[in-house]
Amino acid sequence: MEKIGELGPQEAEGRASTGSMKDRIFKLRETLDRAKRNSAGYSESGGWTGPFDRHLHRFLDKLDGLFEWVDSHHPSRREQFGRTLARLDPSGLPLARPLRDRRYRAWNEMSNFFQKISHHRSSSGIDEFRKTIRRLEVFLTNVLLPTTFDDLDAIDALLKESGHAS
Amino acid sequence: MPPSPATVAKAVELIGRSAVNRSYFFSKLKSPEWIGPLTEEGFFSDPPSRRVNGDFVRYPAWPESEYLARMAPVAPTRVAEVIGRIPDTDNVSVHEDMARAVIHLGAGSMARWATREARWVSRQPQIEYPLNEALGAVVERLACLGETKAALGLARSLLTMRCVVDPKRPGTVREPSQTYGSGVQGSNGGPEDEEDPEVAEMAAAVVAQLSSRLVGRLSSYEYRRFVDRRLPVLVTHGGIKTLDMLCDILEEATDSDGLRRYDRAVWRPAIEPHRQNHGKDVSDALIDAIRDASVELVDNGVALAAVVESLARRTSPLFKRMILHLAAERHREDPELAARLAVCEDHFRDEMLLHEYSRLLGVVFPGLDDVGRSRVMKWIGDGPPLHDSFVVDDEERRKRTVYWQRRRLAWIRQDLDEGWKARYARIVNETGEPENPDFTSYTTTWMGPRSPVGAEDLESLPVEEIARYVRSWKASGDPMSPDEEGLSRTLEAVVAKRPAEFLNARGLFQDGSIRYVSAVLAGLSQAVRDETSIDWTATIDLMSWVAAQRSDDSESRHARQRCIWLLSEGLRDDLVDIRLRKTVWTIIDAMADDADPTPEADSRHGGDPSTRSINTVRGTALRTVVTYSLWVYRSEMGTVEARPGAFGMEWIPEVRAKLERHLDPAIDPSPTVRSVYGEWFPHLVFLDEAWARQHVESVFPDDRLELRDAAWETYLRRCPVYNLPFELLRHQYLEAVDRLHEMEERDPPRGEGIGGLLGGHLVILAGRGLIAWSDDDGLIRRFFENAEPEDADRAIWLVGRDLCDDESDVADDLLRRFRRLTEELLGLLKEHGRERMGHLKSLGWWIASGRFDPEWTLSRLSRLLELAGAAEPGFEVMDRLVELSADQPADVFEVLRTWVRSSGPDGGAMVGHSQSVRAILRAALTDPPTEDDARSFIHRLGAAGHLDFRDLLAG
Repeated sequence: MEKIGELGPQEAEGRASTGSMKDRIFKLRETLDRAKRNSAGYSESGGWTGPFDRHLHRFLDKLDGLFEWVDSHHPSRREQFGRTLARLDPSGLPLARPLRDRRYRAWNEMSNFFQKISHHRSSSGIDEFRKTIRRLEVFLTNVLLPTTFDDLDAIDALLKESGHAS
Repeated sequence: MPPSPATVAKAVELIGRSAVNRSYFFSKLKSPEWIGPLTEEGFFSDPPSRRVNGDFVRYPAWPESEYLARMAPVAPTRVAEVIGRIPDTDNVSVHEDMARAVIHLGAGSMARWATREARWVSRQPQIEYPLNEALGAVVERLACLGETKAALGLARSLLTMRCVVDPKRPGTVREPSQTYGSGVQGSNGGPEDEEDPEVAEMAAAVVAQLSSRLVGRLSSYEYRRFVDRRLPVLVTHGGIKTLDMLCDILEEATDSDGLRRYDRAVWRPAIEPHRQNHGKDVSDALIDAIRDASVELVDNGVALAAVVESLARRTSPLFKRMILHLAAERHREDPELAARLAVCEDHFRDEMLLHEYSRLLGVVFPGLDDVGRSRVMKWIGDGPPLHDSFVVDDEERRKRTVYWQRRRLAWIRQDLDEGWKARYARIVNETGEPENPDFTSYTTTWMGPRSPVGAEDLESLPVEEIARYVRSWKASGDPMSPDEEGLSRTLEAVVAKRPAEFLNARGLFQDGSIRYVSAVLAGLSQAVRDETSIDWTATIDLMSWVAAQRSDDSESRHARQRCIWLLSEGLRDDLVDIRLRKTVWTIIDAMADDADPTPEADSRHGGDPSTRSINTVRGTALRTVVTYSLWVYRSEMGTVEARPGAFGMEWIPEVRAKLERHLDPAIDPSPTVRSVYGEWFPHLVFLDEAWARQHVESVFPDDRLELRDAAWETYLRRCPVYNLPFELLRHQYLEAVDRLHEMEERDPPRGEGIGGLLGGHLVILAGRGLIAWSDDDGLIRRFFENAEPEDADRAIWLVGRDLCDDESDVADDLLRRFRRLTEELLGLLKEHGRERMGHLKSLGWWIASGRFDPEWTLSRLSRLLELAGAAEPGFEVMDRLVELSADQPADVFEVLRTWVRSSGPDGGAMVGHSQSVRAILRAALTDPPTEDDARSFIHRLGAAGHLDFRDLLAG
């Protein structure tokens, strides 16, 4: 019942034409980031230090606080996945974005596959199922049981083969 | 040849497995052929942001930018394309890499990057090493390639300074950039919302101005280095535009100081290098840079007038001073201009320009024509403008004029005509030669006290003559001249070499100032320390004279102090004959009732009362009362060993009376004196246990907290742990444990470190079996439950350092008790958790001391690591693990794994222990049941960035 208001035709049309709250917050954030980059009244270490009056200062600080809250409490699934990977990496460092995106896509494919299977929306055969299970095992093994020095040996061999080794 | 798509795909798959793989891959790339394929894969587009963790900021390395920096010399065009597309970042490491890369690019690419970089630099509060070095190299390279606009822009962004509040000054305000609202916040204020904004803003503005200073983006040191190394190149290629840029920076900076302090000569006495210039901050470096650039431009062929014109566009007196300096330095390049600047009444009369003007006039005056000379001499002859309200009468007006003229005539005294020479001579005859006439004020330093005569000269004289000299010599009163204190110190050194002569002639010094009697006593003390024999009968006679003096001035007090110090030394080493006991006591008796310390002095001086006691007459005398008692004991008993019951206060009734008298707070309320009782309490127990037992409550009175604390804290600080005194003081120990939290709450804070010392006593007593964890009063348990972390830590350390010392023998009983205590403390850690009891990680001192069997050691270390996440001291613990790994590789490996798991891969186990970890892993790899786990663990360490162990897996 509480969702009735959201389902009214006018509101739905309004949402469609003006975009979602999430999109608007995202765009506002882009604008703020641009202002930070270009404004003489902002420094990365000192924050907002321009000759604004205290009310505007306070508002700008609160705005920063809002986006920090959005980041920590409402991350996207992609962001959540990246954070989990960074937590599981013994170095504690995040992967570079292209690598993160690549792994997220792989994870998403496996996730979608198993969801479809479990909801009987897919009729893939046992071979494909086994193949995906194996793929998941490799994925998890790489994350949870690193074989770092074997990987480094493989990198050395790869560069040697390509003639670009040191 | 570029790598094939399959090779790239395989590489991307490998480096995607972990951050370490990616770093390794890029560090190994030696060919620019990968730049294109990797760009297509999305690399070089996502520099990592800086990471803020509390007060710490980390700038993660970006393997991609490090690779580009390495490839720039061999593939500048490809690197330039990629760099141009890298988004803005707040990561300083990436900026360093970029700066190292662009220096190899073409002039245009480098200039474009530098222009963009200057904008980023302008938004930074600080630029630190090594980024400043890399950017400095870019500036220099740009200048050499003719891209002076970009070079100047980047240099300007680096050299700009601003006036900010000094956050280090107490009671001032924070730097404007760190807060908002009024830009500042009171140090004692509550939340900003509670302040009246208008009042806060007004107060903040005043305080900010008073406590502000000029700071640059570069530190003072780096600023100076930049100026010295990079600017000459920039001046050579950028010419007068460089000078303009530097002047702009200085003008903006000095304008930002609301008080305009930088206009005044006192801040920068001389433009040229001079000892009077004490400042070494960024503004000094910039002034030096402008000064040197001006001269260099003229030397490079730029007209003096053009450089002067550039400087003259500014309004601050600083720039006028620089014009006068330049004209003085290079007046031969344009004598007419130099003369015009010298024969300018505004310059002549402006006190802020005095130093530089005097130098210019000095060099220009000989070459001036008659008109110029006579104008200058007329101004001097006219004298200063003295308003009637500033002078009392004609005589004062005349004197002021004479002094003013003397200074100005001194600038050109070599070139005056005969008439003025004679006039100057008359002025000098009346007032003396002027000192430093080219400065309005002059700073000088000296060290004192100084003696009017050297030790060797004084030593060559007979004692009688020395006595006559010190009696007749008078100090001038000038603070920088020799004084009586300096002479006293010289006399003291001479007495130490010839004590017998001075003792024989002591009467000659008693007739003079008591200051020199002090010096004789100090010299005698030195002689005793040098093991030179002295006549103690004569010495005590001199002391009796000092003790009889009633004067209470500081010199007499000092003499009494010297006296009691010397007497204490004589008694302590049994140098004084026991037959002098009565006379000796007369001296001590008099001094022990001295007025020093007064109650006012006690309340005025904070800090440790025990330290104060050795610098007061009564405090030292009370200490000497105990020294005297022990001297009598040794003499009467013929031994230093204790003979229970054989000696007591009845042997020294004079001592008992004196000690009891000063235990009465109505007679002696001084904490300084009371501290003596605490420090010597074990000796009082030794002398007479019954008396000590009877007076415990008086020595540590519960109703006079300042006296109780003075005695108790001194007891803990100064006394080793003795069993018998502990039995008398158990109640005091219990109360001290209950008071642990009070120490923190006192204002001003007192008893610093006392908690740790108390714990140290208790741990030692537990080791001796005098107290136990399970005691009804829970003395030691309550200590560890209530102690501040640093106190518990110190208590453990005090015993731990002895356990770790291989040379000392430790009894089995004692080790058994420490083992038991360790178990109890581990139980406490488990019960209360790491948050509250994590400091017990210092139990590593005991567990890994090498005093306990390996099984117990390893199991308890493992337990400690699980519970506390660390074991300290790390190096000793790791050494012990390495030692044990030879026989018990599997168990030691498990301890290491626990340590890494508990503290994290970058935690205490790995920091600084690489060699020990390697030894433990090597031992584990040779143990078949452990080998697989060890290999897996090494891979995991590798994934955390610890690549040093790779070779262990070979073969």
